[in-house]
Amino acid sequence: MIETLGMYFQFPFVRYALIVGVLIALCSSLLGVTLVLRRFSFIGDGLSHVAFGALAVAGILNLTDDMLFVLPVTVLAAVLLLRTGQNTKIKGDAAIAMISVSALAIGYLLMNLFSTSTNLSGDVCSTLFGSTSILTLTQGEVWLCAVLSIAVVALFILFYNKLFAVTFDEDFARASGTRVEAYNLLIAVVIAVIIVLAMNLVGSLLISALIIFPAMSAMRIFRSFRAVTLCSGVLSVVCALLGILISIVSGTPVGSTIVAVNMAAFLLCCGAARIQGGKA
Amino acid sequence: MKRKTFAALLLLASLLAADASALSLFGKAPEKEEGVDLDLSQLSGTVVYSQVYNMMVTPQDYVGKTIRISGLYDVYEDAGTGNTYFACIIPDATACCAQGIEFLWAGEHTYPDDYPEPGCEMTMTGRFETYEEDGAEYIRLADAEVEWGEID
Repeated sequence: MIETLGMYFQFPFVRYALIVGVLIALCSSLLGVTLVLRRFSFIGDGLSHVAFGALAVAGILNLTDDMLFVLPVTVLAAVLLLRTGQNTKIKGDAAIAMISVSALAIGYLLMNLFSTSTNLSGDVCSTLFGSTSILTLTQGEVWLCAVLSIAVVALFILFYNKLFAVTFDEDFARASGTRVEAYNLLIAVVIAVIIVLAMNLVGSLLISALIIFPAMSAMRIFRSFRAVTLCSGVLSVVCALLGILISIVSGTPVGSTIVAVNMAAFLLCCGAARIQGGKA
Repeated sequence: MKRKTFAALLLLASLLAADASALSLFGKAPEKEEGVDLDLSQLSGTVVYSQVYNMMVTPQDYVGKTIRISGLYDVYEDAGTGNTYFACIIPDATACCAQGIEFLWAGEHTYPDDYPEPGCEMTMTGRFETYEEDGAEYIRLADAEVEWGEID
């Protein structure tokens, strides 16, 4: 087995995939805890569909670097979605659902009407399910991902206390002088960055799993915010590594294999919690 | 304490990125012996698909190398020019995308008499080269030795 893995590690793109996979998994799990606790579990799904729509537009416009278009559009959508909890007529879950399906439909419609690609179904499938995107990264994309991931982790560390306060009680945080709107904006930007990065790993349909599963698994076992966040990070990284390695060796799709490993980890955590007499 | 723990996480992420260059993670795959520079016939479909994608994106890295690869045989006849192109198709794991490498079978062979039905499994070993046609660059394996049917 070690010999087989060694053979695969000879390929640079396999090593790129592992590096990027670990970094994305770490970032998504850190923010995942905050999102799950704020009842925004499904925001990843909504934003990834927005990113899909933006990607379709970028493709039609023949933009050489689609990230320059996709990232700002996703950030904008994230800001709008996180604002929906605050004095808006359309509330959180409905707004996410509306934006999600609208972006998906418009993106697919535009791709069908204007795409110059000879393999439209392949392009759509690859974007939705990740396909082998994580295994076809260029060196530049790996560095970009590394820089963005480190920035996300650094922001999380720097503003950990404020994020904690905003996550659990916005009103109290505001009353104690915390600039809640600014931190919500920060969360929105970071989520959008993670979503755009994670599209390479698992595709836009499966991104929610990276955000929800590690946090929910950790919550089966731990109760404090810090312990849940740490456990979530470790679980997410381990599951991503295992998923990528299994898919490389057995030839299964990368994204769905990672999600399947996350599901297995969740069930294990539920079992462990039951044995401990916990809350699962 | 909290900050120290998270600082450790940040350090880990930084080290991963730094190791990318320190451990030559951005190097090329080592070459194989016995006349084959790159043997893809024993690898999983996911990795083969990705490797072929890389060959198409950066063909200059592979020109002149002897490559062995397995896939499904397919043929394309260009009605406009009358040319016939033979290819080895490698589908991805989700089966929604496929990469193909054109090949020139070594020796004298007549189409369609000497060729199997499209979809037949094949393994070929040939020299990687690029060529231009109508202003576009294409890749193919020249002087390819072809084995038809599933190869262990």
